[in-house]
Amino acid sequence: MTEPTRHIVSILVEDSPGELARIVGLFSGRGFNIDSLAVNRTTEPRMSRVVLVTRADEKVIEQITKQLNKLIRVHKVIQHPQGTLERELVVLTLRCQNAKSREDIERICKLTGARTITYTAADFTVELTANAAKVDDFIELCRPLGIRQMVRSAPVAFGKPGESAESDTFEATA
Amino acid sequence: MTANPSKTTSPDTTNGKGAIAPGPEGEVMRGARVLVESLLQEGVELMFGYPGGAILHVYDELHLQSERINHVLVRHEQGAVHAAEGYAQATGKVGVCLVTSGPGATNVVTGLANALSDSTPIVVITGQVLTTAIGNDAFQEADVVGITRPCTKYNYLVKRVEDIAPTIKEAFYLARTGRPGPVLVDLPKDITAAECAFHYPESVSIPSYKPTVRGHTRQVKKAVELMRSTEKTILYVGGGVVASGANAELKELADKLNLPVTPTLMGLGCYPPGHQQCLGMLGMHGTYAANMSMAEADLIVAIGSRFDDRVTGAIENFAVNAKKIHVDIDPTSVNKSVAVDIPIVGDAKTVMQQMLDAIGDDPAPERKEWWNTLTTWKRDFPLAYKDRSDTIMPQRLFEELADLTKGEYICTTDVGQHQMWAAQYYPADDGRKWITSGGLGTMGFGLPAAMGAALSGTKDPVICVTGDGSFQMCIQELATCVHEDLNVKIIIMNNNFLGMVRQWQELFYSRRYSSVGMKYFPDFAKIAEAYGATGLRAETPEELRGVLEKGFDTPGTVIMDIIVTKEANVYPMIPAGAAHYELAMDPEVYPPTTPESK
Repeated sequence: MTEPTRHIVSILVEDSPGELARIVGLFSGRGFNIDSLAVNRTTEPRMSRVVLVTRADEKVIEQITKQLNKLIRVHKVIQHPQGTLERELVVLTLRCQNAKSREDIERICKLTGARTITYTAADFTVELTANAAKVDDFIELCRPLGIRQMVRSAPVAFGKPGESAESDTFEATA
Repeated sequence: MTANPSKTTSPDTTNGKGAIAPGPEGEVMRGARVLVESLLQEGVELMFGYPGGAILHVYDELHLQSERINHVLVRHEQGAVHAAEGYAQATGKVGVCLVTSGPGATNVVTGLANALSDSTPIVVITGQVLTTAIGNDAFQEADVVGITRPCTKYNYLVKRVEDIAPTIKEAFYLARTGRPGPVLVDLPKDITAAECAFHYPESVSIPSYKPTVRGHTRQVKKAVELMRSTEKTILYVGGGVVASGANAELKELADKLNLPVTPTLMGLGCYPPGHQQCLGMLGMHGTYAANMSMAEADLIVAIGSRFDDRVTGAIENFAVNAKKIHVDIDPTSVNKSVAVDIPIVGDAKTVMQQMLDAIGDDPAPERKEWWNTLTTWKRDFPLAYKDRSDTIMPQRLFEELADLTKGEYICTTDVGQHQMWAAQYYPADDGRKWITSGGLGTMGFGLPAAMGAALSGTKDPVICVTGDGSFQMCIQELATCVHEDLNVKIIIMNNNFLGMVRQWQELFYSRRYSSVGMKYFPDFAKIAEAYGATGLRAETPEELRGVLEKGFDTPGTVIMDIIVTKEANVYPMIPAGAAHYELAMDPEVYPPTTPESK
């Protein structure tokens, strides 16, 4: 048995009531883990994409993809390879009482590519879109400044860079 | 973008029946009639149900259409769903169950879970409160699609009258294709009252649902090569063989490869039980030969079976030296609990035919040494018990039953010791004549399942083997049996105990019998009389045969209350978590040193 590792799974599912519940219920009912979940529309009408991050060993991830494929309204399940292109959003409100902390924030933003959304005399709200590891690092960089609030989205994932991103088609499921 | 329609179109439009008269195409009617016309289009002749407020329009329509479709009134919704399962298992058609909202629907949940476990094709139609009341905690409202989502293959809440016909079409298609299973359709009351023009779709197209029927050609070829080159090989066959109607293919495959066959609890009857190549059932209470052959095999060929924990025993010690081939229509069953060497996703019948084609006229391997071993096991360690003259041994009851009926009648069971002894001794000569709750182990299944089987068109009596515990879980269905004048012969193996739990408490809890003794037990013969059935009782071995014969000679519903010895145990037994080769034999017959352990 292998050690559990992080996997990103994209699910193309018909956008009708209860379908998301079937996916989530499958995970809770079979003891699979969900780290994060992102759901939105696709270029196909009446089709949603669910991007789900899970921790599982090889045997469990095989069951997860098979069980997802078995759901009647699931059209496609993609298990992304390690190193796939992924992006998530984090929004942080940081304490900012003096010129020194303003400079620190400016420097961190420049370094990481984060940008300021809004500010008051007492705090700055910044956002960063990056992969999970980079977002983790960004949060650690900001932590000493004092994080007043943090909201973090689930990641979305693409195919490998250069690979066709067109995956909204009704191709046969495995 | 749509998929190739030929791949996703329903192959047949009827529920196993011949030509169906076209429905009143285009006629404007209320939803309740759309439902009934749709069921008729699916070839439904009979359904089991119980009325209530939210389903009233449908019951009104059933009254109007009573010349065209039959409805059997049960006494509890659990009875309806199990009856639909029994009907489906006996016929291979889709069983239909109709109940009301709220408690009517929640009462069918056990049956849905049971049908999901045992891959039984049923369609359950539940009434629901008005669409305008959904979510408002209305009278008899429950979130039925929410409650039943994990115990159905698929479920629907119908929100427009125009959707009833296509939903029913799809529901039947999903129930009977791929790995069969239960489908639920929740119908709000206003939808059954609203009107629309009737239009029944000719085909079903679900681009995301394409069960694989034909096995991968190269995998089949590899499998056949392996099966021909190995010596100690065994066919381990389950309910999938029954569901796909592959008795003949299995028989031919076993012949052409000269292989022993062991059926699971769900596969009993798909291979002739008396055949010399049949080792009997395997698993927790399977035969010595079947279990030891799994432990010793160099190749296990699983067909329509799923390496259930009651079959494998301790998974880490399961057939460690054997290669495995697994044929199953459900891809999730493959590599789930046991890693297999050659997975083949496909229908059991189709894949076995592919295997037979690949074998052609090649001569069968001899397997002399293997057959020597198997024959020795069968001869030296048969099912056996120590009979007594002062009390009826349960095994004696099942031997007599087998001798009297020759396994020619449909036999349903409940769950517990009686079920295991019936599985060991009842020689069902067809998979559809053995109807039991295998996966879920639902006490209370037996009697309603027998009702469904008795209405499946058989002219023979239907046997319901049950225990004094299980029988009381759906005892109310006696009224349905008498009401419908069903030819059901109920055999109660009465030991005043919840016997299987007691057996575990005896063996693994130092005889601390916790809540298993039925201190008060009713007089089942008198209960039979009270319901208008016939009640008989046997208390001694001398009375046993006479009571069974009289019971089968008496028309209608009969209870045979057989008082058996209180503390008999089912053997062989693989204790939970042990390996096949650690199976325990009956110490009264086989002194503890006899089965050579490895």
